[in-house]
Amino acid sequence: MKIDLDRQLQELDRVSVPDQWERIEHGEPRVPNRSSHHATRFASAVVIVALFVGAITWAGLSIRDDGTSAAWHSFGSPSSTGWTINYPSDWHVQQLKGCGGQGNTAGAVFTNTTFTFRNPKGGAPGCGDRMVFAGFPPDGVAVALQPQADLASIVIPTPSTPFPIRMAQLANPGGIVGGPRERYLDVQVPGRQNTFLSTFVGPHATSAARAAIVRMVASLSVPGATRWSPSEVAQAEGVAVTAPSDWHVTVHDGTGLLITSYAPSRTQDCSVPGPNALGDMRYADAMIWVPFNGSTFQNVPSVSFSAADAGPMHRGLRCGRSGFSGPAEWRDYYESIQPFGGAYEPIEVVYGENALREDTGRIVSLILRSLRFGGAPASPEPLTPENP
Amino acid sequence: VSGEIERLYRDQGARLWRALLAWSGDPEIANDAVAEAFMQLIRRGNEVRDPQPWVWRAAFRIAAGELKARSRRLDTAEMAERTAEIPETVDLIRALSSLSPKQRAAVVLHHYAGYPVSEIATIIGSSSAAVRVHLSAGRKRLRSILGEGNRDED
Repeated sequence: MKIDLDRQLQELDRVSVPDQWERIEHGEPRVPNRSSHHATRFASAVVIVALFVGAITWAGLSIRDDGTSAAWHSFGSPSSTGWTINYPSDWHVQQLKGCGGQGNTAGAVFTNTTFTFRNPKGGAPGCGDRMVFAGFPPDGVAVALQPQADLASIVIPTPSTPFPIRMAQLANPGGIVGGPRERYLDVQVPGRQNTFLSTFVGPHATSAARAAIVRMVASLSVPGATRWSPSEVAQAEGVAVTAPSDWHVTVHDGTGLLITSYAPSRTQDCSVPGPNALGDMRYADAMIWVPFNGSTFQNVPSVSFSAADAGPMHRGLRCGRSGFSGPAEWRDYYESIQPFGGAYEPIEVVYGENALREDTGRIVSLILRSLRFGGAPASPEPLTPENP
Repeated sequence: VSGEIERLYRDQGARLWRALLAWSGDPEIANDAVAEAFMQLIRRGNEVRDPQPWVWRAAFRIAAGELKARSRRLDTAEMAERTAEIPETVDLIRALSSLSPKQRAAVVLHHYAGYPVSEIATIIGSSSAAVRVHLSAGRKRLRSILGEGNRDED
């Protein structure tokens, strides 16, 4: 059926409009004026700078006090997934059984205390619930690695994990009140068993211990892993972006940059933003569309993205191939980001229906944060200590 | 000058208000953006050479800022409640809300307000080529959504 949009939109004429002339004539604005916005922003900036300087000073003193600038050692488990990790030499290492019937020494847990986990090799099949944290010191931190047989990822394709791993890639479910806060990631490497990575941070852990966890996680390596890498294709268009090496960064018809977790070999007539490159999308995949604006991205400021820039999420976009669960239904999600006073188009992100809950959503967020406009050198986002 | 601006308000105000309602889905944003844009026009007096496109551009930019600020303050339920205050067009506005902001602006300004692509580009701070892309994608999507609604009614 052909829908007459002109006729549909003229329905708006049925809406009665308030007469605001009196308000206009008497100058009664309700929108805050720009000068108050600027004053607020200036005050906020001063506070942020002061906090930043204070935090840096405090962090520097804490690191000196803590003494975890000790030498770092390397520890590996070549018999399982071949993982290796660096850790402070004064930390305690306890070997662990892998999950789901793996070898007795396939995994390990690293702690900044001499705490010995009860039942570290116990019979609990799940990786996340086998270590007893009762009595774990409030300033203790731990990093655990447990190879596991994960049949689900054979049945359901899951994106591989880009290395070096950043804390933002780990799920953050919280933790037990008063106990350590847990974060975790099911590390996927093509052709290898998965490795379950988890970090635990006690409520009174020092900043140096937290920073050590960030550095340890970033040092994890597994043979054959994909890596974060800057895109030369994007750089040629004046956009610096860093994406996992198995993602695809292409220029679509000269109208924009297409970044996908899958090979966009087909197009499909589907009412989606951007180039409709959803034909091959699987349900944990994602597509990022960075439209060009008829001009280049040269000499514009850098920008970083946050969740607050996201527009509303829309559900129920029906297109794509028949997949694992019949006709697919996609989520689409607009990052209504207009960092240059509206001069550039919003960046649009389309997720498969499970992608937001999975690792893909966190990877997309890191890709968006790596975007820089104006032809800046495309280098990976520096590994800044985040709060683990 | 005030007399001329009042004539412009009488001529364009209602259409601008409805376009902003369709774009933002929020009658309060439409109220504030129209009022603020005309107030700024009065303050500028003769500085503005072509008041009609200026006031449309200013109103859409003010509305964009307000929409962003309010979407951070209000949750989805509150936003939906405000849309429901205008029952005549609730389905249309809901359908429009599934478009990206620029797609929505392009569709509303072209199909409701009757602006050509070049003027829409000026109003929303974009290029003509980009507006054409937004218009095409927005039309396709809106037809798909409104078409589904009609099929449900059948």
